[in-house]
Amino acid sequence: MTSNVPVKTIGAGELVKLRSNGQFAKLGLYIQRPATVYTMRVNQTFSSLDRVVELIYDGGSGTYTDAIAGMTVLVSGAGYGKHDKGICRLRKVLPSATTGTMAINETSDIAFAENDYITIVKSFSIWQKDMNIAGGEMLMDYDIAFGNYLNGGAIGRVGPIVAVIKLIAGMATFTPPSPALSACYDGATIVSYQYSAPGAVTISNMTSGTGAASWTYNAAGEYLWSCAITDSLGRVTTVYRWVIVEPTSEQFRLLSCTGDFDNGGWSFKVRSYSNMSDVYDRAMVTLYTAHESYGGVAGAIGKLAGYENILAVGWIDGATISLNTVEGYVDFEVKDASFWLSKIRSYPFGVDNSAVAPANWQEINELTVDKALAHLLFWNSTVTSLMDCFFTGSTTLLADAASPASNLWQQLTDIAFSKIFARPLINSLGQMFIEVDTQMLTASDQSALTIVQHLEKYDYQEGFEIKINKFNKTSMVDLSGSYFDGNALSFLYSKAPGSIGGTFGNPIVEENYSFDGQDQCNQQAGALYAVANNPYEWIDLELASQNRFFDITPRQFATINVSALNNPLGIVLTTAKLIPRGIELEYNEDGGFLKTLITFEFLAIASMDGVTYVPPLPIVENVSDDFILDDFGGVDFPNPDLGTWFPPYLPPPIGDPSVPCNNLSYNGFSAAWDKKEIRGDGIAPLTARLYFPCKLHAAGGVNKLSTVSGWLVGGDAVGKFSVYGISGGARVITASITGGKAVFSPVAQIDVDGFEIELQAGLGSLLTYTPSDYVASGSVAATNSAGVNVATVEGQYYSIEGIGGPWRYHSVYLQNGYNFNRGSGGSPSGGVGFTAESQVMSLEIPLGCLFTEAINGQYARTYFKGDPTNIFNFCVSDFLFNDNSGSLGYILRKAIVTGRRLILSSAFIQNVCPAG
Amino acid sequence: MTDQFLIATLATGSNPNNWTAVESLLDAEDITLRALEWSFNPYSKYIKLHDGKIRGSGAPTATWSFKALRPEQRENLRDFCTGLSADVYIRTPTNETVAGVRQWGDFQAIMNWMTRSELVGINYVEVIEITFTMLVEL
Repeated sequence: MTSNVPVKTIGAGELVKLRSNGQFAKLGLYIQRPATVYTMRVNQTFSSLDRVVELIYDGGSGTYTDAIAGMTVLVSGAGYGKHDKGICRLRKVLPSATTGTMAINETSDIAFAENDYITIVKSFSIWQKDMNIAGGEMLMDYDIAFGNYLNGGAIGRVGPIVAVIKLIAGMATFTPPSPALSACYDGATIVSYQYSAPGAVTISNMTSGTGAASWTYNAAGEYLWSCAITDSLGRVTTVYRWVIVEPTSEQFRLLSCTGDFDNGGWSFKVRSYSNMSDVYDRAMVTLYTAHESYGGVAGAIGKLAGYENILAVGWIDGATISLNTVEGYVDFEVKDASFWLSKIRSYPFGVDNSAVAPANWQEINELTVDKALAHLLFWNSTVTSLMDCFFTGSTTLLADAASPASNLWQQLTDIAFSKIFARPLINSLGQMFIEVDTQMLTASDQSALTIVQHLEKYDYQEGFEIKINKFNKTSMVDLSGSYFDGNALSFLYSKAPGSIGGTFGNPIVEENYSFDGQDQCNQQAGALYAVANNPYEWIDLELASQNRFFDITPRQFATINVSALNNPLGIVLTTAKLIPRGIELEYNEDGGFLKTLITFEFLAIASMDGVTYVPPLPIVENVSDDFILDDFGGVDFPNPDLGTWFPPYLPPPIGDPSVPCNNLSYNGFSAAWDKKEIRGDGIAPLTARLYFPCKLHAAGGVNKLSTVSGWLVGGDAVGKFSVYGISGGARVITASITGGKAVFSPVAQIDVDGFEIELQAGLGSLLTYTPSDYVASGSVAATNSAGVNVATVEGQYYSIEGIGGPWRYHSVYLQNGYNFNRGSGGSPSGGVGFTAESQVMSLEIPLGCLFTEAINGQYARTYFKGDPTNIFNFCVSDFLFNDNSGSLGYILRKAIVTGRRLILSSAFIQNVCPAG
Repeated sequence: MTDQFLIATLATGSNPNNWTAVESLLDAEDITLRALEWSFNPYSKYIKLHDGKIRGSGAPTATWSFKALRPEQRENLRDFCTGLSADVYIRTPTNETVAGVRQWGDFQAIMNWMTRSELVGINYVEVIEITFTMLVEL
């Protein structure tokens, strides 16, 4: 039973092999030349070749039920097996033998004609799935409507793309890894698994969900296997993988093979001397070892059982093919899904959180990054059916997730990295992992990661260079984002190393991330500061072994020691953690040694978290428009109606004005509001504007309604602002605010110059409390109730919080607690009480205070407004002091209290047409 | 295991009992083991480790060098490698001895015909050197 987790600590026996003499390997290259599954002829004429999605066929030959949705379809005017006209994807199974109508992906770039030759071949490539609008309804993969319970499914994680195994005594047994890491992301759970292995001569445990399934082949060849995953909604998701038995290798040379963190995955370049005339672009290629030896012991060792001999897998990039007619070879590159997903076009993507069951394709209940990623990949591509896709595990709730990027890889990156510092990466086995970067994890989470190997001096060649940063590159990290509790957004800010930056380096600003709370925001700020000022640059190590246990993903470490005796600076590193960021496999053809070169990044140690702050408000928010341009002497300014004045911003072209508005597909644009914030207690008018001339869709048409988004609400602003379309300086249409967006539903399409947002005046009753500058700290003895009086300034907001000591907050049991009171020292009445760890915790607001919150799991922070006429006292509270010992610390800070406001980030305008 | 040079094509199979004695390819009156000079290198590459030690890496290699071969003898050898290289089985001596006795090994290997010009004399081709690479011990 093998868990489908391709990272492990190298075992003792494997280390002996990696440190042995005489390591060598014979490489093999397998290029898929897929078998024909079904052939047919086109039996129709075409009045238009635009958006062809179905083909009427006749003359079908083969077993039509063998054609699986997702298989590759070759189109030729010359004959079967050729693809001179193009290649497309079989969108659904064939309805019938001989004659019928086949569904393909929507295409406009194949010149279909009557009697064209259609060949369905046994291969799967990465394809996009296009959405479609019909009758005003959004449909996935052309015709899949929302609401059918059969729609959707599981993300199958059943093992790498391809295994290569040998016949031993005429038999080859394959055991797939456990599929138990498969999951649904729409509320369903997985109920059962059913494996299928056509061509196998024996099968065993084919319904196992724990990795006990296996089957045996008795002949060399290429075999497709599948796993049908049934979930609690009765849906069946089938995923496909390959086993190649005893392949005959191409005649080839390996020119390069690398996994690269920056590129996101693996690629390799080969020189083939074999006949390549029957190979088409995007054919799957597998680089493997046909034989490996370690110290005279034959057998591959690697990170995942059953796949130890796989070096890399991908699909031929046709743009890299070059011929040498003199020496008779072909060079080409093979690239994994990180490349192909970056090539696949995609429409702008966006989903919103829904507190209840979603009502359409763009809503997700309790939206998280993982749910957005699953939705994006499952419905916009075919990758989830042909490779494992692992997600972050983050439970941080999001109000929405969107990306206007035009390719899937960038959309994955936009959603994962811009929210939670996660990044998609592909390992050498072709499995995708989207994980929060190692450097951004808490120390506790980092310590839970696998240490693949401690690298001794005899594990790598010669020496290596470490470039040392003596001075910081970054003086301060200014991090901001939001916390979404499922209903409202709160804004979080943090600075690291603190309110005052370091001596050296430029400050950096990171914004618009999503956090679980202020503590996480502070932790991430500290982590960013540590990474930006990592004292050690990346290092390159040439391992003295054929070590393929390391990979750029999933997250993992190596450790290394550096002795003071080995460098003039006397630097000592003890089990320093290294993160593999780049891997290069270099093959020596003469001797067969497969050298591993790895680029490592040192794990940055974050010595402290960032500190909470609230950005100061600008003294002059906007230039007053209460002046007359003609008053500027000597300059002849035009004097327009300033109500229509906008910043000099030129919006991007929206599309072809000649195309009828209702025929336009979805689109999305970014533009800037003319203010960054509107506060309820600010100076009227409480409005901001956005210049973006366009035409808004009419309600009831075939297109989705025009929308504008791009604000964060603070205090009680929800429901207390409006968005308008404006033209000629006047409001011409009012939007409804739904799901964080302003949705326009005009009766007829309407031109606007831009948009205006207006917040109702008032501070509101819902206030946000944020600690800021440090004022004082100290401690009080636990043996009496004397406490410490806190001096305050009239009108200034403050926070005071407990730190250190075995003290817990509690509102009922005041023994072993602490209090913060207004009045004479020592009075426990009305204070916030703290008690023993085992008690149920709760909070109450101390007398004279405004708001109290739990912090760091066991302490509390309370906010109050300065008042010199009343004494605030911080003290220990207990019924019995003489059994106490030690002390309780506190920190007093200034605090910021904010109410109703709108933070205006970049606006996102969707589904609009060119004006005019 | 008999201490004699053996060779076979892959099609013959990995059972040494079916392999061909090199001696039989060359006529008994002209060949003795002394006429076939051999070498064996257990590693094809050497790596200097960070601790200063050396590690051998890569597959073993072996060479068979014939001082002179008559055309018929050369043709018999060429049958196993009609091009520049071919997959074969061989039995060849290793560097190791046990109690003074030379250790021989059976390997699958790539047989590489020499790429330099052959020295053709009267009725003889002089110094034929065959290199076996990627030796995989059976």
